[in-house]
Amino acid sequence: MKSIRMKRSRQSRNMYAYILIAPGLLLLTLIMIYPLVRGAISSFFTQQAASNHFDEFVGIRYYKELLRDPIFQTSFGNSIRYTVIVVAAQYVIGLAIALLLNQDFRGRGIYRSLILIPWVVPGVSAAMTWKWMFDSQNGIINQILMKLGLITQNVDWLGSQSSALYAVMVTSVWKAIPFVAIVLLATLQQVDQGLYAAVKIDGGSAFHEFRYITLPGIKKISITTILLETIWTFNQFDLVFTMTKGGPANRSMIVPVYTYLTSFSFFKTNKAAAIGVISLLIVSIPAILYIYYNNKEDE
Amino acid sequence: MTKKRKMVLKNSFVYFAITVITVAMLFPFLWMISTSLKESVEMFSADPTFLPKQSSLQNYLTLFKEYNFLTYFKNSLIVSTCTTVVALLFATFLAYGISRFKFRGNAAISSLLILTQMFPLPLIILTIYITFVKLGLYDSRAGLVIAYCTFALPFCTMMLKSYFDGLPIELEESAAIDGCSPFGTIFRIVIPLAAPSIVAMGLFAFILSWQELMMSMTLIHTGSLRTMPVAITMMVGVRNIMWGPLMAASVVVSVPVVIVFIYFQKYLIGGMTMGAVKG
Repeated sequence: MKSIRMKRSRQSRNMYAYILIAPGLLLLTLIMIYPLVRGAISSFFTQQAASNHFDEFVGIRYYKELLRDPIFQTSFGNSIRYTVIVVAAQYVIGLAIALLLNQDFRGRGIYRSLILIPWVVPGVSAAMTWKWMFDSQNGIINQILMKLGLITQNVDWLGSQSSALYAVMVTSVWKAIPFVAIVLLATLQQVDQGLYAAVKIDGGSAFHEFRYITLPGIKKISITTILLETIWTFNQFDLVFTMTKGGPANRSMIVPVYTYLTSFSFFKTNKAAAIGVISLLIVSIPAILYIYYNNKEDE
Repeated sequence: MTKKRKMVLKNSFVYFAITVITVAMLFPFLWMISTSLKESVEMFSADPTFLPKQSSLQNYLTLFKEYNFLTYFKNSLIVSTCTTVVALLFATFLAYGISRFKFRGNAAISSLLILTQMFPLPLIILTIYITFVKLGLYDSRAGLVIAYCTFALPFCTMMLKSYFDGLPIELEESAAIDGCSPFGTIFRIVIPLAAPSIVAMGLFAFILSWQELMMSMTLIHTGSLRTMPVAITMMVGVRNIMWGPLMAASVVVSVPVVIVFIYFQKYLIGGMTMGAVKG
């Protein structure tokens, strides 16, 4: 008798749980799962632009086409370079700032708030501001470098093939540093202060402190932050799209921007879907690692 | 004495370093504001000063009069507010369901939520675009709100779930014993308790929608429905860029977000680090 009642109550509890999660899950399925799956499938078919029907199954034709597409190859190489350099730079600078902010000094809270600002500034505003600062005629960067005697004539940072991608990288690093710094700072503040005292008593140097206490203390959070930033940076669209649109001559083209342009400027939806699938495969490597480390941390 | 001197030396190094870094980090933001207040003669001077010699609101007047920016501001406000409300409504129930009930597929949903944050958006938007055209949601603010749930809903759900995980379940149990219905428990106990957290997540959803570019650019066609980020990218002409109004527009988009963030940073930083660490 008792067991039946318990079973029934568990059933009604489950029922209640499903009622709670159903609407959210349904919405997620409609706007994320379905578009993802359908998008992936469409990369194997031909289709009229903006039509809802697939015409013909063509297997991996679009993937083969991409192998021969020089712009795709450029954008792929650029994306890897962009991601690696930006993530590395923002981690190193972010860590340095976190270590400074972890010192005990007056006004620390104010500095912390102010340092956050670049992260909060919307991508489009940040992109436009840096575009203005990099401007070849009246940009402040050229004016400062000129005053310092580092350049003798104006440089067209965003308009020249060799520097455009790096100029966007500067913007991207600038914008992401605060996130890394604040997340690392939060973890640094949880490191047991007694450990530092112990190193001091044993006559250890500041380097020993950093090497044997600080670094192990922030190892896990560093891995998850770097993985997360890798995913975000690889998928980043706003900065390159706003600052250069991949130009000049595709030299700053990255995969997300090329996917978008392929679909909505060149109207090759299925080819764009194929690029999307490739991006998904690339991003899934750090994504799976992230989930792995994240679950490991909970144990 | 030497020890004290060492401390002073170390302290002044820390101050010096952090001040230099902060100034460098803030410079672009301040330069944006400063440029927006300059008149064009001064803006293009070969010898620029950090503070405008003669501040004027001319660029802002141009922005709102000639570029129709009030309409875009209003659109951004409507879309972001609606996204926040819709996302929070769905996210609160979803997060509570995942946090409090152990059912089959529970862990899978949590992982799925994290994974959706990593999907390449251009791949998703292809289908959303085609589907929305078919459903009549293309070129409407309602459609944009639904599309914005792609990032706002998983994000809010993840954050709220980890918050609910930390709430003691005893209060809800005693409410149930006192005869409070399950939904009554949510509205009378859980939501009031979680209110600060829910507000913080709402602010995040708002900020993310406020600055979104790609979907807005794709799903809105009519000029009068355009949101601010798209309007800004469209201010860049082929040859001439009107830097003054453009910087004024950048300020209009940034400043509300910056103020909100600084003001509520206690809640937001908690959510920001929690999201990165716990997922």
